[in-house]
Amino acid sequence: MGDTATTVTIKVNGQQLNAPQGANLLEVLKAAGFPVPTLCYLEGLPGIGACRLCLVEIAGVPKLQTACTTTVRAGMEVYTHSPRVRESRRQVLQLILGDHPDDCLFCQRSGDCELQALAREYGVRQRAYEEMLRSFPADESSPALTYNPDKCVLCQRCVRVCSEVQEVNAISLTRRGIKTKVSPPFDLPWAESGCTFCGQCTNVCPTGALTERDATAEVWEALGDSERTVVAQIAPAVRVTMGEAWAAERGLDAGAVPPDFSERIVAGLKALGFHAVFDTQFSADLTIMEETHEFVERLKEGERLPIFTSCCPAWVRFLELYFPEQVEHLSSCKSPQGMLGAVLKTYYAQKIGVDPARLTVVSIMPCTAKKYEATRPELGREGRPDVDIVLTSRELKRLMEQAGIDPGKLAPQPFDSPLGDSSGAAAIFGASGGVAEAALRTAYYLISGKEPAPLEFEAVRGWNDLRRAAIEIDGKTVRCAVVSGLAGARRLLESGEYKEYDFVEVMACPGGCVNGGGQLRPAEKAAYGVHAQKRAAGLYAIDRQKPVRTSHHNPAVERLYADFLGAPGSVVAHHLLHTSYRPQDAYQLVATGSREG
Amino acid sequence: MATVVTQVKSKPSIIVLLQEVQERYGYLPREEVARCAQEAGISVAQAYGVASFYNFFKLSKPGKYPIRVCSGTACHVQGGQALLERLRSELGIEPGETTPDGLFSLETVACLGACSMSPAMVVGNDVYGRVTTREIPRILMKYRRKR
Repeated sequence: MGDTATTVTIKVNGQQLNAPQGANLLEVLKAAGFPVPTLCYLEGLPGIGACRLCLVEIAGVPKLQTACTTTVRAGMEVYTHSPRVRESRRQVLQLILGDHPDDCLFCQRSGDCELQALAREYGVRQRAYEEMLRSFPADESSPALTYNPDKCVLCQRCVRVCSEVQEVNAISLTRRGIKTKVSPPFDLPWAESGCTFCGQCTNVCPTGALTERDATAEVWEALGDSERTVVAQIAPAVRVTMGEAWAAERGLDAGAVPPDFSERIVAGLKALGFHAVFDTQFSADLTIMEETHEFVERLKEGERLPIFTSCCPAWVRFLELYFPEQVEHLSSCKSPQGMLGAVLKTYYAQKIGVDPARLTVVSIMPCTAKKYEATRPELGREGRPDVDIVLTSRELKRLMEQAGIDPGKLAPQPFDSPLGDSSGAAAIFGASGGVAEAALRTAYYLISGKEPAPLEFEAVRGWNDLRRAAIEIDGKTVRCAVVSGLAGARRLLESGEYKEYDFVEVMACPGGCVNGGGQLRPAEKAAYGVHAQKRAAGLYAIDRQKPVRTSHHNPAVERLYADFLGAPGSVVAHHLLHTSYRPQDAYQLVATGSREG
Repeated sequence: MATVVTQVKSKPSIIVLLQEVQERYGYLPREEVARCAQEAGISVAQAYGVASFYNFFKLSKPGKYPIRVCSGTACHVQGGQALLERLRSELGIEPGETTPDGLFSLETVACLGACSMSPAMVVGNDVYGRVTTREIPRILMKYRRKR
């Protein structure tokens, strides 16, 4: 990208501006307070000039140029909003709208759509060209996400996130001209493709083309059924994104609300008619008890090391599809969502005297892959899923809005006890490195009989996609690797480097669940990082405020073991809290178009 | 395929690999597209993106009797489009597709060189000229009986 060390002077809309020579013009304009519109640009990736909306006028250059593919040169004179530029952008918008349906009123993204916002900004009030819809059928094969080609503007953000950020390469642009669409190879249904359901594509889609599969209607149906008892569980990362969005909508700084917005969410869900609201952080503590027990056993026996964390369903699916031979390294533990589902459908249903068939468990997750996870037959009993409905953070917000409930205005309510009590170790499950740290706090205790001091394992925290740490416990070294994003996971596995560790944590989304594929899209489009780091900081703050900060000292977890489960790794615990996996070769899957076994 | 791959030195082009496959099989079987992708060092999704971009590449196995409908100027003027429409509805497939029983595939061609017989079409190796839509079911039946 040229020599970024040299600062040069350019002129933007008549104003002098200093910028690094060779810098991306679109970035420079944005930083200078002259943002140009874009539908295809993704921070952190090179511009591709696909959407043509960032056109700017440059003195001496006859044609308008796309800012995202233009680099800063000394002395350049740029006009970002001249009449010619504005008219050209309007034309581009009109062309994009030429094959875009007019059903904004009924679209999931209405009010949150980048195309809609631009049409408004550029005063598009009627069609310039006759509507010519492509009328492709929508792909609704996956329980996690849906793709509606008619609403796709072919910006390629999804394709690039999938290939350049996640390096999963499940989708590409296919066909040509008016028939172009995004699809898995051979037009396989998404559910049967190499897609891991991480949902990062739904985070970046500017329109309603790629979205989470909305399940709010199912929740309303369950809530309206007097025969059903409806309970909820909320994942760690959800509470920080909800607080952040609530503050942002009111023009408040994120610091204006406490990082733990969970008690407001609980109040909102109770107002909607939920019978009880539990905390997935409770079962995160339970996961740590089971997983660390398994880890310490395997470490002692030197068996199938390293252990891979199994909380992240997109990671599990990635491994099953692309590295079937390494599946044996996965912890047999269900994810916290799965564990709480199982406990609710057995222990809790029994305790409140409700037929499990009439208990509806709704989990609220930062994640699209959790929707898929809940449909895995291993995570159910007697043909019924343990978790009936999974909502993403985005759907939770929608659900509250549909009821006219402003959670920020309600009196906070605590989670229901005891399945709502959690430690600080569970809160940090939502950030990359958090599961490893929570496990280390407990492993340290299990191995040495002492509490670690300090409790924080700074070495596993951070933002790199691959972090390595060696932790001394009782004279033994536990070698850990923490991976954030599937590209890092592929690297670790392909290079064979994973063999050098005892414990490997992987979260499929860059930065962890705080940046999950079902999280609220931040108003300020930022690269993977900024908003996720703020959310993670919120989780670490919640950890510090908790009276109990280790899973093994969570009294509610201790009680569940005493009353019901016995001990970590017991027969009952194994039956309820552990699972199995189905390795299958993605290459075979894609090449033959059918699942193996 | 191994010979094809060795012919192409470092970084074989996906297009060349796909062309070789099509030459051999008459279309692009999935397994071969997946293998070409591996050889070219790209993802299967990308390889499919390329294969589906070019009309030249056939993604489904041709039928036992490929049907080629002429869409050249003379045939177009004489109602070639109506023939195509009738074939689509009779066979239940789009151009580029093959019937589930593998008997027929459908495609359009720019000119068969039989303009004097327009509208024209070819079924298998048989040329049909001045075809009317009403004749279509009878023509298809002939081949269905032959199978």
